[in-house]
Amino acid sequence: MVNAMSRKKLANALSLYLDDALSAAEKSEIEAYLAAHPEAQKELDELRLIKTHLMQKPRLMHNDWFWTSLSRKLVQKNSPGGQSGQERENFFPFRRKLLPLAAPLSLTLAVMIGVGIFLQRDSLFRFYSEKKKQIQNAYSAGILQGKILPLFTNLNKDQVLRFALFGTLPLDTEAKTALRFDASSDSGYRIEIAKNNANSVPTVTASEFYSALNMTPNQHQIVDSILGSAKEKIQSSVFVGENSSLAIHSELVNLNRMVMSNIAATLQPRQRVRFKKYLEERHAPFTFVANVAPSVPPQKLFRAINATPVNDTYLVLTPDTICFSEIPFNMDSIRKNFEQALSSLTAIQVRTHAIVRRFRERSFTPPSGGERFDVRSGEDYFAVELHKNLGDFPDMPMLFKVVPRLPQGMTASDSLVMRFFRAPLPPGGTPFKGTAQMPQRADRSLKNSERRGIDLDSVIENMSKPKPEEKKYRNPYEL
Amino acid sequence: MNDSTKTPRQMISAASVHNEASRYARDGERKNDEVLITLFQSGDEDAFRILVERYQERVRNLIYSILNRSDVVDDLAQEIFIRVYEALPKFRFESSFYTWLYRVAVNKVRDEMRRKKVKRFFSLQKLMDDADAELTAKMSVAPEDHSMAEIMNDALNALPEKFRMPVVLKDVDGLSYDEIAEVLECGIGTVKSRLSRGRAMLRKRLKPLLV
Repeated sequence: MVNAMSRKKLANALSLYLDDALSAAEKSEIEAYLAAHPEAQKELDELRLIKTHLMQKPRLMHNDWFWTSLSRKLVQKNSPGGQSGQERENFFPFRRKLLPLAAPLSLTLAVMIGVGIFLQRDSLFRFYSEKKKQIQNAYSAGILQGKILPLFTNLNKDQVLRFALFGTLPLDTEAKTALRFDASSDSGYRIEIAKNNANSVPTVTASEFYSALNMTPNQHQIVDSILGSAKEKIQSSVFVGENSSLAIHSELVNLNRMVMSNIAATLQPRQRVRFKKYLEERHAPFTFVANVAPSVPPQKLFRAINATPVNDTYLVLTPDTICFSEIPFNMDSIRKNFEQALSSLTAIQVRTHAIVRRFRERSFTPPSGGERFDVRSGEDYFAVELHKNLGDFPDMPMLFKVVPRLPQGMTASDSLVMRFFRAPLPPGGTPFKGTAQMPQRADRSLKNSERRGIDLDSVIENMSKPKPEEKKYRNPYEL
Repeated sequence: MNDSTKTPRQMISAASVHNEASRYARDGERKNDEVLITLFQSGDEDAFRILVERYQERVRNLIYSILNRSDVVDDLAQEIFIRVYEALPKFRFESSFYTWLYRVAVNKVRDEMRRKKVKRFFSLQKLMDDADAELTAKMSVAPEDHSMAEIMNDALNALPEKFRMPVVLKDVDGLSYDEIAEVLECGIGTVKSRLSRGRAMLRKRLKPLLV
């Protein structure tokens, strides 16, 4: 009986047997083993088959041009300046024999650089943080200096209500400076920037307004929606731009009347009486009367507040110019830029007071032709009165017409509106007149005496406040 | 050594060798490698041509068997013969030219394998190389042998280089253990062991086909 061999010994023995490399004794021994172990015999057969296949491995076809190309290379190599094939193939920037040294050297260098970076990580972090901050500042400065931003981005419901009732928009947090609109003056539309009027506009809040008028929850919801839509309209109607320019959409002058009328239409008769009384008690410059003529339903008025403006006409005020201009603002782009600026800035420098100061200080040369407008200015205000109907503005007949509040015995020219705005017509005429079509260049002979302008720096705080959560307003009449 | 620096005896000796070699050539007999090398060493460039033509196919097939790539075969074979051409004047007949040539060839192929590893690590040349190699390989062998040839080539390629070399030298080129040991510059025991292991690996890989 032949003893079993280990796998390794058997494999070696079979390999040698296959090559006929065993001695006669070893050969007979392995043959006996094969006879006793069919699996070993099978393994031998398989090895033999593999060997046969390898021996019959297809050969390459003869290359008749081998010597020709070889001799050409040999001639090339033996010629002066010839290179060996190995040298030509060397794609490293050093001799190939130095290749074994290059790997450890590269590794050492990489480790040294890594350690260096690790040790200097604080300095590097500081460097890149400062760099990032500088870039952010430059970026933000670029946005603010070179682009147009909405002036009112953070109005709350109370401020919008105040705008509806009194036609004023706060330019600072303490409401000391305000932007005012009036479409009811005798001479036309009026836009005014005035300061030190904190006492002239009473503090009104929406909740107090609702309770004073004893509104139902449904009415709350409707008035909220109206105020929300007005807020969005205001946001997309007033812009500050490069060189302290101010652009005010022409439709804004009529917005407060539309909002007030729409609120009145929401109320019951008894509530309307309370509303009128409310306005009277707070010395609001406007009130409302029922329109006897055919009028638009409140739903249509609400849709008009929400509607996209039918024109892009803006009144543009710069320190040197007043003009009407068609400006197709891309609101999405403006909002995006503004949000980017807000996210990277703690304060935004908007200095619209330069406009006021310049207008106060300049002298005037009357132009000729075109629609007239007057510019009035005083110590703490300046106003633009437009002697024209802005044309494209939808002057729709409202169910409740908003009119200047006229106490008994008072004429329109001496109305509350006029007193409210504190801009009485001077007896000798208007101090400044221009045309609505042609931009007017200012006379640059500035007076150095007074440079007290309206301080709008606190607008910064107003604009940099976190934006309240967006609320989607729907047409309450479609509920 | 210039003729002017040779002694008369040396000149006579070299001339006699040359004459003898030339006589073999004229007679059309197959001169042995040593004679041709001697002729080459004595300045007969034609002797080298005979050596090249004698061994070029073996060298080409050796390269092909090891690398399984026909696209690099001719370039490598020519580089091998260039190296031989450069080293042959110093050949001292301590081993047969045949095994010496094989040793040069195997070393060159090893260099090529290492170079390819580095190159493929740093570049995306691999995909192109593989596609070219596959196409050229299929065009260079007889069509009917494709399937079995491909199987054997794949199996051989899968072997580690140290086991692949002895298998190729023994089973494909038919070298003896001594010759393989000389070519691979290792002991005979190592050759036997590696050959045995290489064959076992091949058998394991090809077992499903061996019926």
